[in-house]
Amino acid sequence: MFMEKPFTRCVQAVSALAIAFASLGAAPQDGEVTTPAAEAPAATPLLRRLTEAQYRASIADIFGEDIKVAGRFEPDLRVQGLLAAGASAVSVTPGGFEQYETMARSIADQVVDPAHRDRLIGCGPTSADPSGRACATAFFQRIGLRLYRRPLGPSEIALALANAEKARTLLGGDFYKGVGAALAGMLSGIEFIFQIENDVADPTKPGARTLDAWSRASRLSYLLWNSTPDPELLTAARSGALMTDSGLAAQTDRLMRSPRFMNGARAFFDDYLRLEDLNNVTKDGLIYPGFRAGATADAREQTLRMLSDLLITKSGDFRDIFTSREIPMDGMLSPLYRLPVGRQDWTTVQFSDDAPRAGILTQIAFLAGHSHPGRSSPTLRGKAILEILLCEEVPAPPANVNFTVVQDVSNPQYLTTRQRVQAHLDDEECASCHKRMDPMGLALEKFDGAGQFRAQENGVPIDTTGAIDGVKFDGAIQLGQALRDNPKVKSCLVETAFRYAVGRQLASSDDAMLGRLNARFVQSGYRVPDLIRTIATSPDYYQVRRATAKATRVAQAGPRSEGHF
Amino acid sequence: MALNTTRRGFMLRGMLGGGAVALGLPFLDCFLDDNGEAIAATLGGGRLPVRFGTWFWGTGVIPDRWAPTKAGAGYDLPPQLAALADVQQHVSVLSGFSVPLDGQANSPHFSGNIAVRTGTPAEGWQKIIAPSLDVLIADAIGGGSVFRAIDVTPDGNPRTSYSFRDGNAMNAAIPTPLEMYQKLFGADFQDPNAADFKPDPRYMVRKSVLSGVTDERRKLMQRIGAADRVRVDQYFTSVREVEQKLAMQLEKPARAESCRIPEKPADVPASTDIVKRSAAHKVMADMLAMALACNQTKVFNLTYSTALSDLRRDGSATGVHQSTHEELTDRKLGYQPTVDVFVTQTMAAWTDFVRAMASVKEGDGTLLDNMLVFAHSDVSFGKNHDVNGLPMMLAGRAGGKVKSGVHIKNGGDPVTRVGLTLQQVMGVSADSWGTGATRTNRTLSEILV
Amino acid sequence: MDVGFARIGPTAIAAVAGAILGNGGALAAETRSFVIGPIYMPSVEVDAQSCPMKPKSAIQAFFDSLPPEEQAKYSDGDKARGLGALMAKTYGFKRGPADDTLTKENIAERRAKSGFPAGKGAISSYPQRHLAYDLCTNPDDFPQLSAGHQDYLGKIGYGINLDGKVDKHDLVGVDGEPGVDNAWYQAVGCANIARSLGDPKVGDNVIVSRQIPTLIEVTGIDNDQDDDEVTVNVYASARALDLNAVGKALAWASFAPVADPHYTASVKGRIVKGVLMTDSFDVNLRMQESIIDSSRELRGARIQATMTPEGIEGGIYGYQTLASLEDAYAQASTIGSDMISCPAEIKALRAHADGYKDPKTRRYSAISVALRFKAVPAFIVHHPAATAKVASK
Repeated sequence: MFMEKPFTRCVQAVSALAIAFASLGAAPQDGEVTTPAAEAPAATPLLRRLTEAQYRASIADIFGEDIKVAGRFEPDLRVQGLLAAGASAVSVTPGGFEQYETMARSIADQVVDPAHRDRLIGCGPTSADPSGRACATAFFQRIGLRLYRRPLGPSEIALALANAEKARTLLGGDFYKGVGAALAGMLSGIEFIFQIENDVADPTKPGARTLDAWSRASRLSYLLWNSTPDPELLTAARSGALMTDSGLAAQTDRLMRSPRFMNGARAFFDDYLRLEDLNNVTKDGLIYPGFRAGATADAREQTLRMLSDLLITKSGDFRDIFTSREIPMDGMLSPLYRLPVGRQDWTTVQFSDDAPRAGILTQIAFLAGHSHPGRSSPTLRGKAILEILLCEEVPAPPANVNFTVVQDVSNPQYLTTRQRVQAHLDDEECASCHKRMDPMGLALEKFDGAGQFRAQENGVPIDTTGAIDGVKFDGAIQLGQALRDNPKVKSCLVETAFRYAVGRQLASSDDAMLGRLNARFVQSGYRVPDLIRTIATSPDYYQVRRATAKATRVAQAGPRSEGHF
Repeated sequence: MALNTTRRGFMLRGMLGGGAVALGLPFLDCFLDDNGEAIAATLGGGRLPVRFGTWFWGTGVIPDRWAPTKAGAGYDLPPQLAALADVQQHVSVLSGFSVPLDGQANSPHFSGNIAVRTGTPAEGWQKIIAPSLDVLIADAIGGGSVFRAIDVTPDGNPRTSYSFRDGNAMNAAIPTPLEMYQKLFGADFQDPNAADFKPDPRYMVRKSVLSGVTDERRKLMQRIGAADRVRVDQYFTSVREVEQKLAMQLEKPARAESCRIPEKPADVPASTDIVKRSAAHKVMADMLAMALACNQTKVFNLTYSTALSDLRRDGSATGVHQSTHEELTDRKLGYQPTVDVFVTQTMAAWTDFVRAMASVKEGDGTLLDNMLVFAHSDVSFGKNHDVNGLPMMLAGRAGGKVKSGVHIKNGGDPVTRVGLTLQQVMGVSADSWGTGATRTNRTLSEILV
Repeated sequence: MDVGFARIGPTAIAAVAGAILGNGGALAAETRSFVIGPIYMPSVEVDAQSCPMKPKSAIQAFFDSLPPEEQAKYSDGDKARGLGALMAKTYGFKRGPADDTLTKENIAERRAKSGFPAGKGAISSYPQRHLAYDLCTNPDDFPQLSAGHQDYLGKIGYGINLDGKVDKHDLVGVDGEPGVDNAWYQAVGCANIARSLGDPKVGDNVIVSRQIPTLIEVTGIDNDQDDDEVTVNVYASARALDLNAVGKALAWASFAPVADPHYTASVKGRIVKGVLMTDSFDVNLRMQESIIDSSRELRGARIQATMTPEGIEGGIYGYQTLASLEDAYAQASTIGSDMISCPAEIKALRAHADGYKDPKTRRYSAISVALRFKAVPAFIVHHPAATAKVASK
């Protein structure tokens, strides 16, 4: 019966809700000393929501590339510059869950449809087992292990079977529809949508806690492949190998040798450079007609390819990202670079020694990504360099910014951007922040808001001189060299990589680890794969702190300092 | 994560006692009457639902050209409000209310807006201590319609939203007219006026698989930290909301006399050009009117432009935000001409919205009569991010509970007086709102009936 | 090359560089390449003097030939549509089945198979490729439909003096030059299509032959304002033209030329006060546009165009072969019969033809034309592999 009396429904609903919440545990309140739980509550976040890319990759790996995932994912949250860190801050909003539920059903429908069920389920009801319970049990156990990234417990199996049976009854007795409904429930589950970590006593350090084998498998896999653990990694988890140094190293090396490591590396570079923001970059078609729809996506791909080629495939020196003259190019971008290309799809071109471009700062993703729709912005570009590459937080501008010396774009006195933003430096209050940002951005002023080269602005040659941390430069090439040599750039990369890997904000207890990683990075000749491997194989990477530890380094994060420029 | 004790104060308010650390427990729809009406309108003796929504635009106005001088009914329309001429009787203007920052920094385009929406200013997303008022209102009245609330924006970016339970749980906006149509009138839409209704067992099935208590889930709650527990609770609250939506699909929807299914809109890419933005906005406003008339939701948030306002004109190197800061005041005119144009066009879009709601007949009046819409910006004068005299407007009469067409000319009271009034009108039990300098228990008597 | 506010040409720079470096100032000559977007035959505004009568379309001519009772049946809107069918029936037009494999090589055999009169019929492509026999494929068979033609009687027209003579019947150019040879315009300038598509306000903004645009390469530029010798190469592009964010031709894209000598041409020229002027040469310009897949075959052509930072724009003037003009009409088949009359226009073009007398037939085989074009900067890539290492901006 579907039409229940309102009151009965009400009673049932209230009771269900009360049971659901109450049974979720007598959770200790902050500051209270409680006894029921075996351990004090964890101080580090233990849940990380899968990013859209991770969700999609996981579904593809578990069910096959041909399973379509269509829907709008809840936007990921950038915390201190990283979506990976935001993963441990977000939950799921009602609108977001609605989307997950829709996607889950769509995926489940495909999995159980006649075209897929043989391969993905491989069994069904038989004369001996007309309800198909044995088949369903085997399926949920097998798939549940992949979905939840750990074996299902008995109550979880029981729930899935009960859901499948109830659905089968309601839907006219179709076994596969029943299984599909239960599968949709699992795909909507918190256990799938979030990486949920579990800690155990650390056998090597009395009193300390460390991630269990399944959690390690999950971390390794999402770090190195940006996807769910494959069967071999799950086996290594089950056997306990991941709890040993050698087992951990063996799996790390296996994953890093695979071509799939490129996915993990790209996901890191994408987050490090905040390339997802390019999705919201638009350019004025009248001012920059060469910047076509599709340019931002290709610009993102260009930078990712360049970094992957240089840092992963060639295992190159990280510092070269600022000075390398090799760049992937396609027919969408070549007109913006004013370069000839022999083919429209991806190829590699080399800037000549006298070209004004080298390194990521002269790529369209950076230049156009940190500009306005119709003009360049030295402040946005300088701020991006400070925040992304130097890990320096730029405070929000003061609310009542003093614009008495107003900048007027059509003022004949102010022909160049440098002249217009000079007021940032003339006013003491503004200069305190702007003197660190604007000079670097002004070095890039020979590239307009779409990233195209220009020698002049309004008929006047462009002055690209400046300095950072006492090092002078003139133009983009020299700025790249200055950043290449700047020590903070390296330590920022190390810190960012570590924050990305742990997927949370830093704590003071991470300092020792960071110190070791920095030293190792220098020693290795600034090799990024080496850095990732060191993180993945360090016991500290898997440590879990419980509530008695000191409070974490409090985030200084102000609002997303979108600023007034 | 830092332990934030001020947030805990607000968390405790919603507790069931004992184990549940629940935020704003969903108002169980079983406490509503058969037609799912929480607050009945008294208009024309009919029992029509009262809806609530917010309408947001970024970078404020030019105060001297926006705020009327005459208080009360029949107020004057300064140049930036000229577009309201035909709908003035529906719109109240609230001028002179301010955000006392109480020592906090004025985070540009942020602090003031958070104060308006949550009752207390905040310097950053992670420092927000309360849900936005639309969420509180949705908790109170959102049940009984298909969606507890709808968040939309014509700007193409799902992050353009100021509706949230906390700073990490922003309710993403539907960013295009086509997606809005697919969500509201797509596959799951049930025409409330359809002659026959057959409950679809698939909704029962969908609902039945969503929540289940397992040993693992119980253990999880015990071993995770306080911050994680909040997040898990949010997840289950969201599940619960979807379950309720599915339960509603199993019941014959109440008739909605004014419900007409709109046409599927074209798939036009979003634009930062204000003319194109206004065109997309109009499509969304018309669709929203139908969504309300068809009882798809009773609560909505429409963000016309973000707080930092990405609006510009095609062919112009400078957008409105930059203009607010960099455009010279024209000596002859006495104001910034480009900014003025953008504000005027934004107010025209607001007028489109009001008209869209007023053009739907409902009961003895219109849809707008049975609504209360709260329009506001993040600053008053964009140039210096002033949060004094934040521009705010109301439209509609909340089913007869408020007067419309009134200018309240205030002298600096906190903006929370507005938010408190709105919540009370919409049935949220709150006798005060805000904290510290923004705390108030005084409502706007000028508009209460 | 700009230095501050003065324009100093590369030659001067070279001289200075030479003085400093002591190598005589030899600078590498520059190449500038372009891809054509809009290209069309421009028309001027006509009036009652230049076009006293509106030329009759074929349908109109056919209608006028009907007895009054018949005319009454087709006098208004919807009914008029039946006129085309009636005309086809009356004159025995033929239309073969859709056949993608039709080519100029097998056309004879297909004609026989489809029951077409020997040697009659041409390939048409709307909506699918098929054989057609009608007033546009074989205009000589339907002289009745050529009634009501109106030559352009005006004195002004686009073009240049191609034959070096100033004859009585020559036009005066839009900038006042005497002796302009544009007999094409005199033949069909009064027709609707020539007038609407030929209006520069329209034509300058319509990209033609987008799938196979024309590439222009100007090499050996020492001074882009005054250079007494440059070489101009013309190619067909192997790749379609890209559109930019506002729907115009995209600048700075890369194209490979089609390796077909028929569509490759080279000619010497000079630059005078910024205007590129070539010697006379033969060039065939690819023209693939909606239903027409053809070529403008020009003889004794000259380019006169101005190079700007936005590209190059100007004219190509010469004698287009009647064969290539008639081929385009034939492909159009009966499309447009309600706007023009193929027999009338083709007859007029033949009558006005003024170039390249065929020694055998003693008839002129080509007619003077003026083409107007706009091109944007492009890269012409002759050796794809070599682009990997480039000097770039």
